[in-house]
Amino acid sequence: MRVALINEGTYPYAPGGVGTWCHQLLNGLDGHEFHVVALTGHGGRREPAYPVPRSVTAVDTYPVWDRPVTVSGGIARHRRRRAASAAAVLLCRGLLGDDPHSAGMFADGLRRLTELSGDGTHPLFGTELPEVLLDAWQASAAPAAGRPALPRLSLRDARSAAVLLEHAVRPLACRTPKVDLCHPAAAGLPVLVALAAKWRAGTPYLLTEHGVYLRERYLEHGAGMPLAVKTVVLRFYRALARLGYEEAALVAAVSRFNQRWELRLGAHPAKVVVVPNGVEPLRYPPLATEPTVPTVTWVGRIDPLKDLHTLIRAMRTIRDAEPLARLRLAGPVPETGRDYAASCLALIERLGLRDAVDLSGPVTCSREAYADGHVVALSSISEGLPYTIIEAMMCGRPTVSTDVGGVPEVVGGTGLIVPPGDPVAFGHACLELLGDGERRRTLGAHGRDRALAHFTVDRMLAAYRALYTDVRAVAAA
Amino acid sequence: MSAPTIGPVGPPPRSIADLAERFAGNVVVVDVEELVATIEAAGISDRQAQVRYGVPTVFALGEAVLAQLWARRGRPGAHPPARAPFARAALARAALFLTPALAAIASGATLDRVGWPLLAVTLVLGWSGGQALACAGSARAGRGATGAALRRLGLGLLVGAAGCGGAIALGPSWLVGSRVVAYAVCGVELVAFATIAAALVGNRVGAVLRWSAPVWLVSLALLAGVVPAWALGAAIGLAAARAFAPALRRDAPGARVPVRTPVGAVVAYALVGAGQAGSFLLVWRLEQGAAAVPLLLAVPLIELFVGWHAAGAAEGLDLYDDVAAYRRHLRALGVATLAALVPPLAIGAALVVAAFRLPYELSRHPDARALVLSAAAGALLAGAWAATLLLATRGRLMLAALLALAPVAFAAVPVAGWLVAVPTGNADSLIQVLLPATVAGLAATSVLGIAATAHTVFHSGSYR
Repeated sequence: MRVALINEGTYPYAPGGVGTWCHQLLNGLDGHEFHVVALTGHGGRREPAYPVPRSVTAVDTYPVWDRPVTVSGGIARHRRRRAASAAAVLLCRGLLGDDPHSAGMFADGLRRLTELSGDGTHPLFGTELPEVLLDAWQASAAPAAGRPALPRLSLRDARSAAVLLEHAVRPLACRTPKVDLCHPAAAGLPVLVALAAKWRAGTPYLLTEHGVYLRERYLEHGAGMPLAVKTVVLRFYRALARLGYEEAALVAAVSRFNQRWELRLGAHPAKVVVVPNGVEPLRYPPLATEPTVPTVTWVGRIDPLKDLHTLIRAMRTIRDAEPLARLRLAGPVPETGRDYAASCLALIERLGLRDAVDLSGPVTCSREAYADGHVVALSSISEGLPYTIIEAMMCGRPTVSTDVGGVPEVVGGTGLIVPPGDPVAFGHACLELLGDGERRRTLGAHGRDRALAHFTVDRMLAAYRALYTDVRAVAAA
Repeated sequence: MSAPTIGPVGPPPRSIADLAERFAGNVVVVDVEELVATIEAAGISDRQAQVRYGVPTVFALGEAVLAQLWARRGRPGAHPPARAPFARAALARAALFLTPALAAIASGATLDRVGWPLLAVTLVLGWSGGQALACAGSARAGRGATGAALRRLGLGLLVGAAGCGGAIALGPSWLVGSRVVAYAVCGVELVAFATIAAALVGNRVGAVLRWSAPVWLVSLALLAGVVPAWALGAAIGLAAARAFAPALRRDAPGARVPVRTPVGAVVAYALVGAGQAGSFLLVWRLEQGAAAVPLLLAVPLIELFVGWHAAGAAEGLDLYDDVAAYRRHLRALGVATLAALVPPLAIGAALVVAAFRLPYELSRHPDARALVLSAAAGALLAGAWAATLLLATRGRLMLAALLALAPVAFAAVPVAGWLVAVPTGNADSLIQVLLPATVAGLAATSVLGIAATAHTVFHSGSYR
């Protein structure tokens, strides 16, 4: 089967959970041919973080924030602008409404933009999008049932939002080769590529969500932009997620937590299947020994959603009770996480933890990092189904993690779970395990049994193999 | 982004009202899903929603909290922000631009030892190169790569200095003057222009201006004859060191995104700079001093005018949520902008008329007419520069470049005519012809500038 695997900002360039999942899928699904579409911010040469396997026929990198691709010729441009403006009216009115009619307008707007971008040009570039957005806003601004009036959208806000929208819909112009199905790995921009393929060629798609895309945008856009701009952007992503669930042949949620959100956002219950991530047991055999110095290990991508500030603050609590304790942070710093990494370093300095915290960068095998610690920590405020916890369990290491996303579903009773954003609770949980060797060993053993029973890569691959067949069957029906 | 919290660490909220109270001071949420995401990130799961708040899910809890939050809030963002202050920044820029002018006035005796063609070439090179490099550097600095932008600017300065050095070394002595002095003067002149460009690129006008205070003090001391000329060079070097200091820093890794140089804009700014330098030289050479007074006075006024216009346009973006009202605002702003461009033209025209209708006694004075015409030239050039900078601010760069070059182009016509008609004439007879012709050219440029500005400020596309 030929599959277009579509992701945003992850495989093959950025290491992390989604990248690992893509890597497993591409290497493990024999008999399938993959075309990878990697949506990125900017173009230019970059080194892949994963070796691309032979099953991948091509990696198509599609930059969303590069120079616009436009129609040539004055008359053609004028015609195109008129048609795109008409589609933009539907898109803007549709994204601001809450009712099914608005959802229909949003879908119609995107569909028209897809038709216009068939030649590879960016569909909304050159339109009077701020004016269109202002008109739509004024039509929808009044209080409606269940919600107050929309905030004020100034012309400056409209321009800022229009720039973001114009770039956001660019993936509609990305053309996939003829494939049997598309497999977007998030209910955000990758869905646009899949929708375009569906509308152009009737290609069905299977949608997988790791972290709930919309939920992560909500957390990401907290206070970083003016309220009205934030409203436009989040309404766009909400409307897109709803449309993405509706048009998908099937939706694969990595956890029941994600499934709740997907159902809440309108996915049909019969379409949503839970397929947990898995790891290869042979790569993560149990760790027989522990280090001599009490150590907490964290493995992951340095990113605000991982809330390392809470973990570093928890380390202060741990050091107060256990002065020799150490924290090892192992993981890459992506381009978007540089400022956050700097803020973590500043916090380490401020709390006087320079000697206690080791920011060791990426590791070739996460098992080595787990071997350096007694306890594996995860302090995120949002997660799908984290590989870190599954890998640690497979290695027989006990875990302390936050109660977010699919974490409780993975851990079950084999680790300690604390509320997110609470460094004191996190620190006490780590101390509890650091001070009780017997409990560590018991939890570790139970964790490995649980991981072997539910979270192996073979189970995951078998599920996706079946889902690919089901998607074609659903589409054919 | 930091992790959302529901207030200070303490006992968890026990009721929905309590929870709403804690969220009320935090981020304004756009819908219930955003609130639910924040509630979950704060550690409240479905189980806790049931046990602690008596609702079946976090989504139900979010709806209950949101109903309370929305009941207590008005329409957010209903009060547009006040107009951003612009006068202080405009005056700081003007003071920075005037620093090299003051230094040049103070070091007149030293400049006299250098051939004026060399000084003119260095002035054009520094003025246009500085503007072009500032434009290219700003594009890079806008992406956070200020250090890299300043290093490129420094490289441009070195290339310019090498070119000047070559010209001094190889040029005939009647063109260069004293070579030793010429090296120093041209070097300091280029450094002064590069300092201004670096201050603009690094967005450190205020800091560089403070470090330019020694230049002002040494210039005044030099005018009083109490310090040697080299002290001025040292003071300019000090300001340059401050302006280029960020070049030594490494840029944040996130700023290492490839940035395309806006070639068209860089060329346009180079032409604007060359045109401004050329017209300044033209007016300066025709009648030293008299034209400089209105020009120097005009620099802060031009900066204030352009800053006021830009602030007015920006204010409209915040003030209006209706395109028709915004366009009315732009029309009013356009009328006021045009009105502000008329006085230099009117003053210039009045001075021209006065120059040819002087009282009998004054009209017999050999320099009186030239003096008044020079003052007219200064006033008219100030108006033309104001229009040029306004066009550049509105993004009409090629129009601005043409307007900046217009006075030089107008002056070339009578020079060509004079060369044809009086091939053996002397420089005095040329000036007799050229001064009125230059003033006429400047008047024409001013009229063209007002027309171009009218076309620009009333076109809504100029405000994108």
